[in-house]
Amino acid sequence: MNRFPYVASLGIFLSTLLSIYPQASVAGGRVPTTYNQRYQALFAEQELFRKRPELLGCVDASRDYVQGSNAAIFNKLRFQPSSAQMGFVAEDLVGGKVTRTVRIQAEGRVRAYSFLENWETAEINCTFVSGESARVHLSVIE
Amino acid sequence: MVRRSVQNLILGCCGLILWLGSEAALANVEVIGTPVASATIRQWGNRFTSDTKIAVSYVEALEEVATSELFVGVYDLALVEHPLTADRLRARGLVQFPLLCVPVVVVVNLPGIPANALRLNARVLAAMYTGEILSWNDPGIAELNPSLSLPAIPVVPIAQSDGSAVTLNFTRYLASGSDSWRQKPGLGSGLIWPLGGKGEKDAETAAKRLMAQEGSLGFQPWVNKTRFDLSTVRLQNGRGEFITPTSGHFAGTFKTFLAKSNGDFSAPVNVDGADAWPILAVVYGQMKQIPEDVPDAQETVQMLTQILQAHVPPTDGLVSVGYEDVAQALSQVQSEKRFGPPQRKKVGP
Repeated sequence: MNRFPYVASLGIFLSTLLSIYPQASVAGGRVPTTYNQRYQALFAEQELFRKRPELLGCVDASRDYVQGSNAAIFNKLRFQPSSAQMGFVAEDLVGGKVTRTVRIQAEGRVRAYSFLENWETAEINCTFVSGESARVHLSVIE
Repeated sequence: MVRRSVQNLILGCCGLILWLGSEAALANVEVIGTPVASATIRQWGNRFTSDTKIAVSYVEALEEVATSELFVGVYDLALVEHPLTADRLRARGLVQFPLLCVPVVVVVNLPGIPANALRLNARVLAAMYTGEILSWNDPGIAELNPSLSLPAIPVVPIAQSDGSAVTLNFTRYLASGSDSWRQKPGLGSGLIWPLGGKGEKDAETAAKRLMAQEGSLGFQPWVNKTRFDLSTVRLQNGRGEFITPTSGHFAGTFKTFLAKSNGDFSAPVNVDGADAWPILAVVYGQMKQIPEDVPDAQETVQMLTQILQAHVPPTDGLVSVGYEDVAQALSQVQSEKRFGPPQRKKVGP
């Protein structure tokens, strides 16, 4: 009888337990999950939707840009509660056309071939000109 | 006896099922959107229901939620305060049109100064909100009001950060008169205010504080002027005229805005026109060009057409568009599901 699958699965189970145990003991018995991070990201977006709906045009445009472009330095964006507070909007009349500039601080996942996720503080700059498509510029804040 | 009761119960159930499946019960107009338009849409809905027996419902929701729910086909009409850009509308297959106007007024709590006697402009208002002007008898205010004896009490600027177009367009007005405002706080419906921090959570809370505190200054939707008995001021418009807030001025300005606005970034602030009130906010309607539920969408178009053609006035001090202003947009909502140009049938081999 081949016992290899049982032994292997027991090994995986034990190694998982061993890897969780030190973290769980540090966190006071709680097993760490990514739930809190995901909840915080969702909360931050809700803050944007509720408090600064005028920023949403830029949020949508930057997400489209990140998903649709290989040249973007980030391949994913996420927002914090401070994004709503630090967002900046200005309007000017350039060449007879209304030009709206929106600046939001967020976090961007750097586009790189790596097992580790590298999230950097990012600045999203959107320029909207009446009758034209949105222009998005992403940069890392050092 | 029991047999008769069971028979009656079965008949009753069949009747209920037939009624639920009938056109009258199924037909309805489902609207989602901003709380500002809630009372008006409910009133319009009651009028439409009494005329046609078509039910109308309204659900208050956040901007993004309203547009998303419309997009997935749960609702027939979304009402938003922050319009989508033209390319986003195209991407989502939505039609957008202005529907209602919310007049925005500046109010003060100044003892001894009657309503509409005080005159203010964007530059002075911005200076009061940034703390450059601290007292009501400041020379900057006195220069605009030579005939008034202004009290020597501190200015208490009150603001709300409520995510509304009322707040956004007020900051837009401040930025129009002050470069320092445009560069630092900028435009926003949920700003961190230079003096007031995060501000009040909504216009009602701000109005209550305005009533309670002497020397306070704030901005409110027109409806709150009568609701809280607030004292309004005259504001300077883009042409330099000081305008008294009246329903006539709001309606005239909104009409001018609709006629002149071109492009998706036009905001009803400092609209160019004689006697134009400088700050308005607009509620936009959004519908799907190819609706998920075509009969309901057609009933929505029917409701808007009937109400606007009959000139049914909105509530809460709002101003509505005329039918001619939205007719073209409403005609874009398809009465049957057609995707792309019709295919020509091949004839012959």
